[in-house]
Amino acid sequence: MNLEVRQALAGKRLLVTGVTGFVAKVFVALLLDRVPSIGRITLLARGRRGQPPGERIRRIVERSPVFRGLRERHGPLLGEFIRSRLEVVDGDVRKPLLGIADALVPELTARIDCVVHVAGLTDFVPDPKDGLAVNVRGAMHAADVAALTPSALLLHVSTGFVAGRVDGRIEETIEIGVSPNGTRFSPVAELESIESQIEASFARHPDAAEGRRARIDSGQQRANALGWPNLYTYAKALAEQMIVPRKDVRTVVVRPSVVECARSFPFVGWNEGLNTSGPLVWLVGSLHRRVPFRKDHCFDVIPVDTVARGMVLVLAEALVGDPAPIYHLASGDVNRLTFGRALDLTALSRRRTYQRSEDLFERLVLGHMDSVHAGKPASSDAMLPTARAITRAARDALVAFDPDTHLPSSMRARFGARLGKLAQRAGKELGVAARTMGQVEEMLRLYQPFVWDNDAELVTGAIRALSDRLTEAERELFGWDIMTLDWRSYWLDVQIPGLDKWSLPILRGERVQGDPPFDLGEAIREVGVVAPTQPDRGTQARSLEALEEGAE
Amino acid sequence: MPPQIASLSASPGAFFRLEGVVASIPALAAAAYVASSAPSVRQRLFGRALTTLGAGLGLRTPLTDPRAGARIAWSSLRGLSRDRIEVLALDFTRDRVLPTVRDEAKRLIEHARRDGATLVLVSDGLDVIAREIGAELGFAHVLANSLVYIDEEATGELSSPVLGPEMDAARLRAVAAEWRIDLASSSAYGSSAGDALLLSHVGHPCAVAPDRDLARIARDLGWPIVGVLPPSLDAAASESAKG
Repeated sequence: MNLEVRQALAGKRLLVTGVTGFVAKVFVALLLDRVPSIGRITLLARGRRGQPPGERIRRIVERSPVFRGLRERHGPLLGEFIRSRLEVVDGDVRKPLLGIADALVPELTARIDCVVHVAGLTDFVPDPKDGLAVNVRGAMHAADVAALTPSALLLHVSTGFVAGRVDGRIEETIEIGVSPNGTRFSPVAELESIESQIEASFARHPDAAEGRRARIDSGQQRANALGWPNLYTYAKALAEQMIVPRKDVRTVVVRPSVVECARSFPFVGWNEGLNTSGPLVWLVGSLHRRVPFRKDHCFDVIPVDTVARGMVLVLAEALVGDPAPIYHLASGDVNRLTFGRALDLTALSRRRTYQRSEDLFERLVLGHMDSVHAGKPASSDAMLPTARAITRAARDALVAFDPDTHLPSSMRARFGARLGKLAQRAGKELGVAARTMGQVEEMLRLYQPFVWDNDAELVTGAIRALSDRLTEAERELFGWDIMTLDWRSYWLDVQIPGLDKWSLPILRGERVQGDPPFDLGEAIREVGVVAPTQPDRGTQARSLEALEEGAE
Repeated sequence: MPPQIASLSASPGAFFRLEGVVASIPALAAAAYVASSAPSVRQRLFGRALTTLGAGLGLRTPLTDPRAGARIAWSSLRGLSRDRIEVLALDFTRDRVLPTVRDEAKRLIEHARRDGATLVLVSDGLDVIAREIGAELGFAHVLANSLVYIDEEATGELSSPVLGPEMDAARLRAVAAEWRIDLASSSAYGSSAGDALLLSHVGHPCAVAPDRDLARIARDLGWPIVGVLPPSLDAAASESAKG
């Protein structure tokens, strides 16, 4: 039977969490762009720095490059379109019922067809207090809200890496109460136990930093003991374990792999924040030459717009059909990219950039250097720790340099002051270099399970089967198209330029500029707060009809 | 389709040798460029040595097969990924070859196109380079060498048959039949003695900025010569003109 996405989604009402993040933003923009007949999307958002959630979302729609296409297409009519399709509700995924005010819950849940839970903390090493609150409790709260809606439908965005430290093909399944290394555990007891440990850590460690470190260490140990490489995958897996068995909610899980730059939507190369490959790409462009990757291991990358397409497909099927419980949104089983290839392409791209640079050091040195595979994992490679130790020793020696005691009296008067200043400046530079080396070491250690220890391949049969049921007319808009991706041109022309423009400036401590201001006009409706003055309904209906025709 | 019908529908072609006629950069310069951009320093040094050796052996001597030099030079790319070779080869083409395309060649190509000839670019370099130049200059077909890859890694070998500085007559006839080109009404443009065989198989041969040997052959066989002659032959030609 055909799957007709626009028909399935026409008039439907969604509650979406995590819209201030990378994936949800693209998902919402894609829906507004390609399914303008969608009923209404309620965005759960928190206020921040005195800015109410409605204003925060309004600013995103007005300034974020994700909505650039919509702004260009609709022009001055965008405000009307957005107000007719989007609304905002104040909430916080860490709180029961997503932090939505009690008085609003019945009215809101009564008119929601599906809760789409995208919010998550993607940091590999979060404070477990935050990681569990957002990634586990947040998912449970989303399920609680979904349970109150007429269809009791939850689309939950997880990660393909919940599979943990395993090799080989990963099927689209979940075994409740069994961890990746086969340990049997009770998800409920596990969550209670880890939360009580977190609670206890506050009493045990009055010093905040020390307490945080202790929580991370014990959380990490627990994750590793069960077969997960880090707290992030542990928490995401625990969330699945908690919500999938629930009988009061129909949960559909999507598990994207490493989400990276957009292939075409909202435009080629779009990225936001620092994702997995950003630091790796930065590393290849630095002076660090030995990269501890396993050449043949799968680097399962998926463009963000491909993920958004997949989510739209799954959502449509969940609303009108019989969805599978789990969908992998990944590339490795049908169009495999390896770490060796990604490294080679990244090095080629960097080389090209440096050889055309006006900076002499970049052109003459970095432009002729290439990254090579290290023969051992980061954990047993002594080169970086040794280099760091030497750099620190040199820094200490320079900082301790005192012209009055270290220079002979004949030189002291003539060179003492100048040499003293030089030594201090060089010492400072070396200190920065040693810190950077430490960060690189830490990063490589965190990435080791993915880039060295394990080689997993996520099976994507369910999403491909769904895509096969699309009509010819909708395949172009929503089809699962990862098989057609040419990794070389994606990496050189999309991914690296995208990271250079949107992500790597963040690593350098620079701000990524938003688009020029655009005025949406009246505020976006905030549920339960203030009903904005509506324009003449006749005019609004006519202009919306025109917009929808244009979008078709 | 019966052979006589194919022959009837054949059209004239125009064969251009990339090295020397269209651009002045020798094929092995690309091998040297790619080899010296290998990831490790050891590979770079080894590659540089092999391409130098290959270029030496590629010099026209009665003792060596001219294709042996090419084989040795391209073997320097063994172990490099297809991505690396093709990306670097394209960079080389765009940065070093395309800017040196001769105006004379552009004029001849345009002339052949206006005459309705099927344009064929012949190169003893890599197909990825020749294809890029061919696309840029509007060639319909490209005849060049391709590397053998296993698991997307170059073995260092060229696919058979290897196209050397001398065009194999049987291969020329085969491609002419495949692309329905009538050799008798075709033209060919070469610049070195190795091209003499190609030029001798078409109805309208032409030597373009020929080396000493091809210039002599062209003069003996009455082939037209365009572009600059080698200095000694140029002087001889001036003397005979005065006489």
